[in-house]
Amino acid sequence: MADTMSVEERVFRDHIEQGPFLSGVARKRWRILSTEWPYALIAISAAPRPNGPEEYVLRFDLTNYPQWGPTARPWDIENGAPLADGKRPHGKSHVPKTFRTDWKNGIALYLPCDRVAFQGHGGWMQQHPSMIWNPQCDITQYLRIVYDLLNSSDYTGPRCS
Amino acid sequence: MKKQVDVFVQGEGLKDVVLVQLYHDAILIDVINAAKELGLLGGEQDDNCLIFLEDGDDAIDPGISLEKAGVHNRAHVHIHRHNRITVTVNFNAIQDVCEFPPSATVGRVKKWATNVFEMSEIDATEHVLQITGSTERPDEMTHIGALVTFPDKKISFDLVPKVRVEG
Repeated sequence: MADTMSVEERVFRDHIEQGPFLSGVARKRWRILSTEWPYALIAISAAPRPNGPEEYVLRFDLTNYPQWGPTARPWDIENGAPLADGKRPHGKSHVPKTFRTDWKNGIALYLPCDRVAFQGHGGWMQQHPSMIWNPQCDITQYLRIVYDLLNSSDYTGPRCS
Repeated sequence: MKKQVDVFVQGEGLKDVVLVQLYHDAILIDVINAAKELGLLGGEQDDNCLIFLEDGDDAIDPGISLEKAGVHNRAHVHIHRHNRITVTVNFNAIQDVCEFPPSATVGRVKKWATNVFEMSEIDATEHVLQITGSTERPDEMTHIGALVTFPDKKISFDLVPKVRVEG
């Protein structure tokens, strides 16, 4: 059978077999659920909160990975659809800003490492250099940032809990 | 069939965590040799490596088995040529210094620093350690030894507020 896997998919699959990603799996920070190129579903653990889930699933669009940064949105795996607004992570400050729904209909996380969010935010290069994607990065750059948010004191649980 | 053990290694010269796969009857020196092949010490040949459990204060005898050393499947270890790293943390024009094993996580150093600077728990979660003179903010599970290359044995951080992502 001909091997039709693209270079980008090959790179991504290699990255999720490496130490940085698997170390996060071993620490129960995240886990891969599926890959259907260019999409991947990855669950990220969240701190315990009243009526809060143990993890949130993000659906990543990894087109042209890793030359282009990933973009992701919260995903409802049971319904195979974007997560309802009321179930998105909420909090006091950083978390609601990241998971906002009042910007581009919530199609991407409002983070400097997200390629959709980064468009039109050139100032983030200076303001958040440690969060900017570059082609030497791997998916754990994005996952670590989201994991930190979901395990910060800022996170209070789902929007409607 | 022999059982395989996955060991995650951080250490000198390694840009990030590397995964080493060994048989369960391996000894710690096998972990060191396997990590060298993956870039430990930046390819330098030196037999004076010390191996620690993550956040472990003392180096372990490299001649003992993984099991005896408590290195279970998917354990995290650290390899370095120094036994201690001198860590300086700067906050609001105040400075404090402490020695840590190279296996100490950035999270452990931050916890020490926020206690020293008498920061509330809430304030502590709003701050991160940034390497002095850079924009690098290592993940809290990064071992400090991974940020220090022999013969250097010190590192300095600034305790800085997390910057909100604004439009």
